Order: sequence, then structure tokens, then C-alpha cells
Amino acid sequence: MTTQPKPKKPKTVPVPIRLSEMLLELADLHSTEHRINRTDTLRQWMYQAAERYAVSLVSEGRLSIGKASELLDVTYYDIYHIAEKNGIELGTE
Amino acid sequence: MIFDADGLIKLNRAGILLTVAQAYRCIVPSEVYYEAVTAGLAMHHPDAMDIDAIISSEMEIWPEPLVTSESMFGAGETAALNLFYQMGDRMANIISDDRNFRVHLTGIGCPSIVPSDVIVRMAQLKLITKERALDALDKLRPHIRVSRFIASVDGVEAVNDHSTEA
Repeated sequence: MTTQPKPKKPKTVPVPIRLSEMLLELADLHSTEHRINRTDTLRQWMYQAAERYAVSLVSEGRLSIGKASELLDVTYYDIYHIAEKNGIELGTE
Repeated sequence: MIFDADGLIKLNRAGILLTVAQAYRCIVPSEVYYEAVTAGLAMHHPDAMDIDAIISSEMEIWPEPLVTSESMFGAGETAALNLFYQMGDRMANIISDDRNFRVHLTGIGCPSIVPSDVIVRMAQLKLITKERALDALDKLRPHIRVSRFIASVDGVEAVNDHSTEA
């Protein structure tokens, strides 16, 4: 049964940002190692940090799991996985 | 009982969702079904198939359209809340272990219960044995806070030993 259509992919917008040359050097190292381009490396790092941040807000009771999953564009199951991976406890006291 | 996706997933992982569904009238808003089943199946999460089978056989799906997409909560949580208001049933409980959501529910006077307390309550009502309740809490342990787990185990241990599963 599918009672809800799958939500559309979130809209993306370009964000100009200044970064240190040292950080970019590190990003390039990661890019080479993982055979991805610099943009993908920076996006990946940012997304991983966003995941940890969102799930920590869930843990603190400042964001619901449903809202966090929408903001990160992941499933409920993924939220539990991110929490487990980062040693973050979820749920009420 | 009204479920959000958190309640469905945690009680399923505790291995007790079917028993809960057979013991109580359980309602799942369609948005919650999407979060726990449709989205889960799309990403091949193993729980989604089990939950789908239990919902299909033992629960009601509430086909309520989402009132607003702009909310401080996710679509499923918002739908569960809307359903509570629509039912006008002050005896209805929303099952969720979401800290943020439950603080809101408490603030507006909406009854809610966490999955671990559902297990304790079922043991107290002798709908399940103490052993089954403790086993369910063990399975739930990785998904809830340590403090909540200990309190729940204490709650089950305090149940009279002469319980028999209904």
C-alpha cells in the first residue's frame, strides 16, 4: 500500500563560501583517496556534520525525529542509524 | 492508540508490535505509514516489511490528508496530532518516544506513552508475562536511553510474579 506520494527531492541552491587553502588541501587529499571531486568531498563533510548536529538536537529534545528526517532527507531508520553510529542516545528520559 | 513512526518501529524492534495491535485499537495516520513502511521499503529497511504486515492485518490506517506541511514537526507527527484532535477522544494515547514531540504533547494536554511504558503496562495488565516483557525491553534497549531502560525493567520486576499471558 502506498498512501502518500514520495516527496520531491529538496531544492538545491548555490552558496558561495570562502574556505582556507589548508582545508582545501585536505579536501583534495580526501578527494584523491576516494576518487571523488572536491565539491563532493566538501558536500559529504558538510552533510556528515549536519547529520550529527540534527541528531544531537533530536537527542536534546530540540527537534523531532520526523522533522530531522525531513530536513536531512533521510528515513526514520536512518536517524536511528546515525545516532547509533555517533553514540548519541535518543528517546525520552 | 495513535502511532507515530517512532512508536511503530520501536515496538516492532521489541518484538511486541503484533501483540499490542491485537490488544488495543491501533490507528496509523497515512503519513506515518509512509514514513515507517513506504519510505522504509524503498530503502530496504528490514523492519518495514514486518510493520507493513502487522498494520495490514491488525491496525487501521487513517487516510487523513496533511493539514499543513509547514510544521515544527515531521509529517507523521503532525498527522498523529491532527488525528488526536479529529477523534476528540481524550482517552486516545499517542505512542512515541520522541523527546521533542512528547514535550509538546504534554504541554497541550495530549496523552502520550513511550514504547517501553507500553511494555510495562501490558505486563501490569497481564496481557504479557514478565518474562516476555523483560525480553521485549532487552530488544528495545539499544534504541532507548539507559535511564528509561532501567526504570522500565524495575517497573516490570515490580509486577506480581503470578502473571500469566492472556
